[in-house]
Amino acid sequence: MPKSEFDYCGRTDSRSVLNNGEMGRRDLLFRFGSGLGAVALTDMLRRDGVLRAAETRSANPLAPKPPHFAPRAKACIFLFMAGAPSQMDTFDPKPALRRYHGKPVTRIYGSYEKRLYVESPFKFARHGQSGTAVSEIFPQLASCIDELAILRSLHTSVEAHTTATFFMNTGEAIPGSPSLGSWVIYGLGSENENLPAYVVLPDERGGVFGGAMNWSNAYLPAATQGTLMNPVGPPIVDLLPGYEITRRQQRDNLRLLNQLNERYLASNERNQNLLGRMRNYELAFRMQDTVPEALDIAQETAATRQLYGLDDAVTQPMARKCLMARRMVERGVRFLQIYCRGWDSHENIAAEHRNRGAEIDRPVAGLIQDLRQRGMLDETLIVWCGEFGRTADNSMNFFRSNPGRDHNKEAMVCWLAGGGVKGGTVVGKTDELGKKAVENVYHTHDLHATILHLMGLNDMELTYYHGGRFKRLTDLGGRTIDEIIA
Amino acid sequence: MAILQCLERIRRSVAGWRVGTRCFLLNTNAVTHRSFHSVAAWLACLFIMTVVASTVTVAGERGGANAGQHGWPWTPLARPEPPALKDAGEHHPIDLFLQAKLVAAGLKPAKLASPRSWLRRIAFGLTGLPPDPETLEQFVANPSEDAYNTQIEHFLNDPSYGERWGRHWLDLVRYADTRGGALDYARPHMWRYRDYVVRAFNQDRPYDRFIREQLAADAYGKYGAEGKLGLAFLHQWVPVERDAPQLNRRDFLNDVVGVTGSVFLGVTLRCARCHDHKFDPLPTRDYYRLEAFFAPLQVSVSTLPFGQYEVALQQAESWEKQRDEWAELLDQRKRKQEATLAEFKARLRGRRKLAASGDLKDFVVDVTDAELKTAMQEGVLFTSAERQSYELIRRQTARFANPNHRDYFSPLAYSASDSPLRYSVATHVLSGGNYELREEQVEPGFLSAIQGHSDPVSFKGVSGPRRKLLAEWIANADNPLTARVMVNRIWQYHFGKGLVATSSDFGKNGSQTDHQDLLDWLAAEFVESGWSIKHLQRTILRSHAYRQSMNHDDRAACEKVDPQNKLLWARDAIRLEAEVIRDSVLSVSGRLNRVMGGPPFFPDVDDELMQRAPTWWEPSPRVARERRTIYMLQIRSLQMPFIKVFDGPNIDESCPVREVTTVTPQVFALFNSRLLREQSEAMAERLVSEVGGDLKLQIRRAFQLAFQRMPAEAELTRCRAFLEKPLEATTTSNEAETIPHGTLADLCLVLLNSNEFIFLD
Repeated sequence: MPKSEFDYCGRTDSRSVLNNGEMGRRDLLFRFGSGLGAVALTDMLRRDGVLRAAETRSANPLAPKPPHFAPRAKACIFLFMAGAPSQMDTFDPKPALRRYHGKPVTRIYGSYEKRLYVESPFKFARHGQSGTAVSEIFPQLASCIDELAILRSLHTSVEAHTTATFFMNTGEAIPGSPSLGSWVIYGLGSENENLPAYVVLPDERGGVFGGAMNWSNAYLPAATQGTLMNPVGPPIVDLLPGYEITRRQQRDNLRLLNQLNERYLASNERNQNLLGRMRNYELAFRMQDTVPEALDIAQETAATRQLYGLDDAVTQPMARKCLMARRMVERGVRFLQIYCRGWDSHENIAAEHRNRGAEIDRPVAGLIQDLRQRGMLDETLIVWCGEFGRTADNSMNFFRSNPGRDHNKEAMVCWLAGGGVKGGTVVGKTDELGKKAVENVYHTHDLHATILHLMGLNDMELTYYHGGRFKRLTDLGGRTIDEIIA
Repeated sequence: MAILQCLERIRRSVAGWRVGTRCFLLNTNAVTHRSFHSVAAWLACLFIMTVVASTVTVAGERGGANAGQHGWPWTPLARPEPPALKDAGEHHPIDLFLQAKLVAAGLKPAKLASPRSWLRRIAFGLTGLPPDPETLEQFVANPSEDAYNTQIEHFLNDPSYGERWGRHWLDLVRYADTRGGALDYARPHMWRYRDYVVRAFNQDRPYDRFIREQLAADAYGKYGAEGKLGLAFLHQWVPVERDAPQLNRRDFLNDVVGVTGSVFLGVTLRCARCHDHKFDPLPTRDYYRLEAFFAPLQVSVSTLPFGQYEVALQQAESWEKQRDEWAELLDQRKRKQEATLAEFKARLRGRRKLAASGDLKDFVVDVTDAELKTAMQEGVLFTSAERQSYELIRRQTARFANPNHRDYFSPLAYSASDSPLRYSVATHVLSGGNYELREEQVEPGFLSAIQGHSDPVSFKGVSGPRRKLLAEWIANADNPLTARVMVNRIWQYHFGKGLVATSSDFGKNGSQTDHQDLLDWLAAEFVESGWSIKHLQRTILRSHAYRQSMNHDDRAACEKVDPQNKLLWARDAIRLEAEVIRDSVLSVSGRLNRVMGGPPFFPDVDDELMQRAPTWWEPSPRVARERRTIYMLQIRSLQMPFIKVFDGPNIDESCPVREVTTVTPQVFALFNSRLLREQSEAMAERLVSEVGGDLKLQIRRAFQLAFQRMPAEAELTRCRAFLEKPLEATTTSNEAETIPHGTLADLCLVLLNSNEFIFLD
């Protein structure tokens, strides 16, 4: 069929379009709302025989893919407690430390500093049907304890913040490997074509140790990388124009762009990216609306605000992120990571951990309860974790005033809740003083394998060929933590 | 203890073997991780492992009593005769190789592309910028064979050529202006290496010399100070925090050996660090024998006076001006910071005086930085504006990733030398790559697969660094890998895809190639021309393969036989790289500042991003920012969003091939960013100043600048309707019937966003 120079949306080419009776449908696109709807250009272009081949060849890297087996969770919210919370002050009570408090540690340090054992300044009480002990810094979370599976015997490979943060996020201490979220998106694709599949919400107080490499796709397709969304202010760089322009003008520009692009498309049949690029302009145009809408927590009811602690200055930052996370999970975002900084309590752990607890306790408990109420908890996996654990002794010479704790890769605590997780369980043990995981010991790779497993992916099969071999998140493989899987 | 070590070794070798098995079996999971724990499987693996290990060792160690027994690309380089074609026509040797394969597959190459397409290809390919419309018009008017040659020379001699090809090289060596890792300190003299690379390409410095300079210029007095700038190649590793100092040294050595292997030799040498290479004849011993050349290597920053070709002497006047302005700026800033902090501290001390119970020491002891920090966090004593200015000072003086460095203009450079202890440095094979598990000691030696033996090299009569012998061996016509790898890279940058697609992995596990003869012919041509990159490019750019069209008359048949176009039956489209897009936008708007060299300019980043950065900088003045992207500040921990979103290289590791993705955030970078809007407006101004107010002329000129062609009649009509004032709003209910309207700047923005601008056909 002869095509005119511009039969963009069929409006000028009466020969082909009117005869096919498609005029009405094409017109509809611009008649309503802000113009380009979800059934825009691409659907119509697909009908043109010339473009069919191009279409089939431009595979969308984010198209949903079947999991390896039936998933227990469709989405994951990873709560990253940056700086590393202490196990013996949160979910792994060590009453024996009381006896040792102030006694010297028989361990030689590089700097020959004197170290003394430190008891936990916090009281623990048993909660829920499971009777799990929780520190007093988490009063709200304690009320959801039967939703949580606590892993007390996790350990990792490195104990400097940056390398350990890389390790927790990518399974490697050195930057340059894909993050957990990227692997998940690579394995499963995206559920929502109007929003990014993998979103990172940083702590507005500052950056993450190691920065963007923590949500990098590295060698995986670029579409699998995490999209950093700022919880305050514009969520994505240049999401909204960095200059004065009306939405109408923008749409007009987009229309002219499509007209010009279509001519080029017809003369370049072999280039499979042309159509993909045109599609992106429409998605981007929509994202200008969908992203702010997805993040618009002003729409939430007073009860929900209350539940998350959105109106309290202390809990507000975390509450905002947790609420954004729920809204995005509702809209099909697959993997979310929320950062909360400030757990690195080398001194004055009594105040520092109490403050952090106060900041996240209600929002995180609110998130769990909210997801439960909405029937989403069974399909949403929540992970709470730092990059490593902390020592039983004080860090440096702060003991006399306000003791804290040092870095410790031998033991750390983490919990999971939601999709596929057996709530109310406690897995593993550390030694008497919480220095080292000793029973049912699991490594970070095992945690990764378990998260992938709950999302329907086998860590051994999820591979990507790079640098001369097939790589995977868990390197030589991890063990799934079967005790916590429901 | 010995038993434990032995067990550990076995465990590691088995683990290493499993890496290889996975590579082979991918998802078949012949031995799954879990069943692996069963003793039986373990023992079985152990047995197989022993057998495999012994065969690999034999193959690898004995190498070849006859070198080259491992097949291409390990075979000695010889110049193959191009095959003859039946038809009588005159063919370029490159085309003889390619067309013989096409004929065998029953296919024909595509027709020639238009002269316009060809000129655009060589302009973007050689300089990374669109051709200027007048050059193109003249060429298209008379595209004689002579004109083709003239144009090639024109672009090869354009100084932009070095900026374009230098950028390719910087990808390979993972160039950045900071160290990376958690402690992302500045490397404020690295720009001298960047300029050195640009010059080397512009001067068509022989590639063998280029290699020698980067690996061991300290051994060659004849290359002078200019050559020594190349040593910064050895300074590009990313230091990471480590528990032990030995590990830092290991990281450095691992990096430099791995990069030498991938960049110059195109082999995944780093695989052999922990175990004999599973696919290529690279035993672990070879890895450590090669490492032994670097064992005494010490890198440092040392004085190196500016050379005659460097910007400091070339543009002496502006250099001095810039240097003084920068120093003045930093001084001013420092004075201001100190004054502000002193004021804050004074106020804090004032308060402390009141709060103290007559303890005299409070009158004399200064307020510490930590005290001020705490007070700022508490925030009672200071207004929010004051707290902000305090926060700004903290970021201005941040330790990491901070580009506000005093030393940009100092005549310092990154140099390398061998430790005086070089005669006593021992290199050991490390079991599983673990520095604690030392095995036999090895002496420096070359790859046994190439040498045919694994004898150590002789240092008799050699003075200077050990690396000299390695550099000589690599930069040598007898090395079968060096030339093959480099010609393939040059091919890749011209065609978008190498003949070996994995251009830093020529091994069995790489993509390999059917075009071994062609690569050998090119490599021989390259070496015989005195390792001249420009000579090779002249050769390639004249071939039909390079000149052919994107479209093929019998596309369906071609795609059926060769869907991936491995036989090159037509040209593939190229999505412009991040830098080329940005530079082209600036070029088309008329704002591109062609000043070359010198310390990097500081980009104007999104406010949000700047606020989240651990550091702070003031963007350079606009004119400086409108220089080519190669001169833009590169911070490893903070890659610029525009570059990142268009698949900029991962600057932590060597990047042989840029990814090409088409993701949505690219739209925001081109459609919504301040940069694009500013340049669209600049382009609109340029149009008005060049052709006046006539819409038709404006549109024609806009197409000419952006696409180097005239608009078709229908395009002209469309764009004209877009620019003409809309009729008074008759109806708003039916938007579909309205015509899109906008200003000239809107039109320019649309052109700069179009597929035709982003893709090179």
